[in-house]
Amino acid sequence: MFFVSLMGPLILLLLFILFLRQNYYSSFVNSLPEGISFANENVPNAFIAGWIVSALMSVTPITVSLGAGVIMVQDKINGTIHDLKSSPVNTSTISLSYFLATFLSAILIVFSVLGLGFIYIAISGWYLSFIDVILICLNTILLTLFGCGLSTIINIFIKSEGGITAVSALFASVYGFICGAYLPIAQFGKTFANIFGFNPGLYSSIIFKNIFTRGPLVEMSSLPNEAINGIKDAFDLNFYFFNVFVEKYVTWIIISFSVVILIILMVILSNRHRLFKNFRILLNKKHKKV
Amino acid sequence: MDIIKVKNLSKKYDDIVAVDNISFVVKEGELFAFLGINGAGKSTTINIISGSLEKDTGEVYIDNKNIDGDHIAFKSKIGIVFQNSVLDKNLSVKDNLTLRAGLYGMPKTAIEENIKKVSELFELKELLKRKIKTLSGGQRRRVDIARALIHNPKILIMDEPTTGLDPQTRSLLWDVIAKLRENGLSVFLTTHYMEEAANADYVIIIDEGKIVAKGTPLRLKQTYAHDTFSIYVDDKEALLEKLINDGYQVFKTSNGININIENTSFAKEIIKKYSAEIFDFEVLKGDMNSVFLNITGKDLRGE
Repeated sequence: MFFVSLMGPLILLLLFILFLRQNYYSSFVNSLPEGISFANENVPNAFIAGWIVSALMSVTPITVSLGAGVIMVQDKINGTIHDLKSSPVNTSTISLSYFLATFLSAILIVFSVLGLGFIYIAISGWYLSFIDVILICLNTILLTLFGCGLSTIINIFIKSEGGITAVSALFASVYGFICGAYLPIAQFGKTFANIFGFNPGLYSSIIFKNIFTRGPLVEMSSLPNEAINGIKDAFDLNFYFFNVFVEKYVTWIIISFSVVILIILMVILSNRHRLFKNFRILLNKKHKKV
Repeated sequence: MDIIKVKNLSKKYDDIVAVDNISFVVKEGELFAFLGINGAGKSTTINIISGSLEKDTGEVYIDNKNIDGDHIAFKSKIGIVFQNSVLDKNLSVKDNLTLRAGLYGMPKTAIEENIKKVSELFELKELLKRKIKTLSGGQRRRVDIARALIHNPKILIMDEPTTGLDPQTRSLLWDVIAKLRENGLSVFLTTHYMEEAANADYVIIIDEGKIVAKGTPLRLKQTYAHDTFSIYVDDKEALLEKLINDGYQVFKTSNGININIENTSFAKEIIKKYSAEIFDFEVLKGDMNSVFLNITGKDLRGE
């Protein structure tokens, strides 16, 4: 099962390397001012490799979390959820347990994919520091938590296997675009960039892109500032939301807060029937008093 | 004492009324049977009582406490066996029992003790280490019921527990349940098996979400069932016409004719009148299926 789950991200990595790598490389070269070339070809290769792995890591935690969350829908279909709800355990505890179970199985796969990504980067040119690796792991955990929260919330409303298959297929095909994994958001134009900016996962993608490409960019420090900024703009290392530059610390805040909000939302939604009922009882009491 | 009390319970799924304003009580230690075809509202009622489904309106009391008050505490008093097994197929019998006991916050020693007790009751000792996926249907069902009893509940709710089981396993289950009832266990049962309903202390017949009849099996049979007089003849068509003209309610069978009769004296009359045509006969006493058929117009045997 573990290896089957790894197949999707592995195929995605191969697709990136085989079919998109050359396009990214051309975009990279085109974003440089004319006449600039690199003495060490390893640097642009490492930059592109970093960008590819960041793209892979922007999508994988979300798609893997959605896949891992299927158990919640399956439990509804086969009646296991009634069994759990008939035990003396709070509904919110059940939802949090699903969330944690989804997270644990997803993080195992996501970190394995990250390991493969690191191997690819090592082959292309390793410029990551220890701090970079720690920050990448932290962002991976945050994005996986975000994906698991999203998956649990979606699965609260899905009651059939067809439903979860449709949602998974939709996310697998669309999410890569709206988080800027398949193509840099900069290529979609300002309107789409502003729309996609409402996706908190995008900010996690920006974090990945910045950390994975930081080392190669340091190696390019001899380039004029204008060239560096051109690269950063073209590859989403800089992101503007309604013309406002989004600072790096803000991207961390957005993804962290999104995780907290999703978990709170998940607890509220899993208790929605009881909450609505209590609210109705309260309204009836007030109505009677009046 | 009433162990379960349901008052004006209703539940809708969108526009479909699953349970329509039903009220009933289950006495402590009673074997209470819920009869109805698929979709009649039995499972919905069970799920509401066990707290796994929210009701729309009405009140449910378990052991004299409203389930709306403390929606967690009452669940420890109920053990439930679902229509479809909910065991984890990749885990062993013991792991399934331990996991379930863990949900009730039982201490380790109590879990071990109760596993020993239920495995003796349901003859599971040899199966404890085996994975669920390697067990037969009957063995799994025994584990299902043992699992429902692992926390010593006061009420055992069973949703068609014996469907698809061989007669030997069915008999073992009922023997164990009879033993448990001696210690005061109340059993709330839904079943398709008429002989199981006939052995209940009290029966409720539910149809399209509404209670259409209730009482002891004897009372229900006296009120709603009628005897069937089966006769075997050579020329079915000719006699069928004569019986219809005599005002009897008749049904053609593959090898004869079934006649609904109020009591055996009518059978005597028919034999006297048509003795030349009838070469064999039998009188079948009215059973719970006949009760069900007469009340709902639906045959449970087809379910």
